[in-house]
Amino acid sequence: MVGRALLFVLLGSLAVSCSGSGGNETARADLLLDSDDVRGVAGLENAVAQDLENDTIASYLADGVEGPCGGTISGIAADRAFGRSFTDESGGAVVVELIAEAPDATVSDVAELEELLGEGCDVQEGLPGDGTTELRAEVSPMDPGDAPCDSVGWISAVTGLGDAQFAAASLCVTNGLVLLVEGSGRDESADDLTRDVFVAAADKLASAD
Amino acid sequence: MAKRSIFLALVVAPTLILSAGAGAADVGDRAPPSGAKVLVETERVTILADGEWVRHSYREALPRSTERTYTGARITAESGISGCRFSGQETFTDAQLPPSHVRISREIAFNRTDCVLLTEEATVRRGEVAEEPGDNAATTVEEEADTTAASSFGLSASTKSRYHETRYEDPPNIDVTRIRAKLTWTYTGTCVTNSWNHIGEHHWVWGTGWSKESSNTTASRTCSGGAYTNVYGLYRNGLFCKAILAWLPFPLGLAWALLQPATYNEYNRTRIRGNPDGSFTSIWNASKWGGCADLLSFERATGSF
Repeated sequence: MVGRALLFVLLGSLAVSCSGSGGNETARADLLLDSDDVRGVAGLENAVAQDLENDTIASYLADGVEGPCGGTISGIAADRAFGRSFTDESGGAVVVELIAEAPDATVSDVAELEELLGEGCDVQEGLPGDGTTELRAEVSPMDPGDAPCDSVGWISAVTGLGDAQFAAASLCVTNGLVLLVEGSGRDESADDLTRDVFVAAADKLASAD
Repeated sequence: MAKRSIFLALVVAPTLILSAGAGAADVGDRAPPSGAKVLVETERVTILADGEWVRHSYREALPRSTERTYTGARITAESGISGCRFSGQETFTDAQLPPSHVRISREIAFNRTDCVLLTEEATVRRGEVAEEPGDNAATTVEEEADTTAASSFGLSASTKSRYHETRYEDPPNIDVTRIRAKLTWTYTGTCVTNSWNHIGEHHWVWGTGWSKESSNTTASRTCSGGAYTNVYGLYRNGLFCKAILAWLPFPLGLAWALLQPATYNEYNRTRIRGNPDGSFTSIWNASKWGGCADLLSFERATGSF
C-alpha cells in the first residue's frame, strides 16, 4: 500500500511539475544523470541516454531490449514522468531513472516495492521442465548501501532460472524528492548497473540545492 | 463426486495399498466420520472422501499440535478448471520458534466446494518428526553477532538465518513439488541493516511427469520494513492423474484416464521476512488444481539454517 501510495504521490507531483515552465524543466533536467555521469558505470561506458516522453521509453521497447522481468515499465505513467533511460551499447541492459517531488514520502514497506518491478514480473517467465529436479537461485542484493538517502529500499529479481532475466529497482527519498531507478538485463550485471546508477543518481540528488 | 471417489478407491499403484470400502486404520481419536470412503491408504496416511471434504488421517499425529482453519479463494485456471488458493502468514520470535525447533503445518482436510483448508500445526524439535525438511537436520545453526555496519553506529546488531518451505505431497509421502525461501539478515531492533543469502530453491519429482512451468525469485529490503526472499513456482504434471486411473480395468480405465486434465501446483509466493526486531515471518500463497489434485496435501515448514 505504501508503495502504491508513494507512486500516486509521485505521479501527482509529476503531473503538477510537468505543467510548469520551461525553467522548471531545465532545473529538473539538472537533477537527472546524463551520459557523462554514467560513463564511469561498467557496462554503460557508451550508453545511449534518452528522455522519457509520450508515455513510452523508446529504447525500452525496442526489439531485443526488455524491461524489468521482460515487461515494460508499469505503475509509472511515463508521460508525466521526469526521467531518463540509459541503454547499453548491446541493448542487453536498460536502466531508467525517475524523479518526483514528494516531501512526505518514506520508503517503509518492502513488499510494495515489488510493484516497481512492473507487470512483466507477473508474466512468470520460465522454461518448462528442463530436466533438473533441483534449482537454486540466489538473488544478488542490489543493496545501494552508500546512497545518501533519508530512506531507501530496493528489490532485485531473477526470473526463469536457466533463461534468466535480471531486474532491480530502488527507491530513495532525500531532499523532499523521490528517486526511482529500475534496471533490467540478461545477466547479473543488471543488478550492478542498477545499483551504480542508483548511487550516482542519489549522490546527484542529495547534492542539489 | 461419489462416482469419482469410487473410481479413485479402485486405484492400484505400486506404492499404494487400497482398501476401498474399508474403514480407516486405527488412528485413535482421528478416526474418520462414518460414511467416508477411503480413496487411498498408505503406511503413513489414509485419504478419505467425506462429502465435499477430502480428509487426510495420519497414522502419527504431530506432537503438541493445534488445528487451524483457512478459508481460501476460488481460482479458475486458463483451462477453465477451478481450484482453491490459500494464503496466510505467521510471525515468530526466538522464544516461539528457537533455532533448535521447526514449525510444521500439514493439511488434514480440504473442502473443494467452499475452499476451506484445515491444518494441524506444531512446533517440534529438529529431527523429531518425518515432516521436517530432510536436508536441514544436519545443518549447523549459528546466531552471529554483527561487527560491521550497524555496530559502527554504536548499535548492537545480530544476525539470523531462516527458511520457509512450502510443498505438496502425494500419499506415499513424496514431495512432488517444493519451494523454499532462505534469508540471512542483520538487525538492530529497529532496523534491518544488511541481508544476504536471498535464495530460492525449487524441487520437483522429475521423471514422473512433473515439470516446472515457470519460476522466479525476488529479494528486497528496507530498514524499517525488513528483508524478504520471495519465491514463485508453477509446476505441472500431465501424467499424474492419468497414471493413477490407467490402473482401472481396460478399456474403462484408459478412457477415463485420457479425460483427466493435467495437475498443477502453484506457489505465489513463498516468502520469508526478517524483521527489524529479530522476529521472522513466513508468508505463503499456494494452490492446487487439475486431475486428482485432491490426493495432494499441502505442508509448510519454517526453521533455521
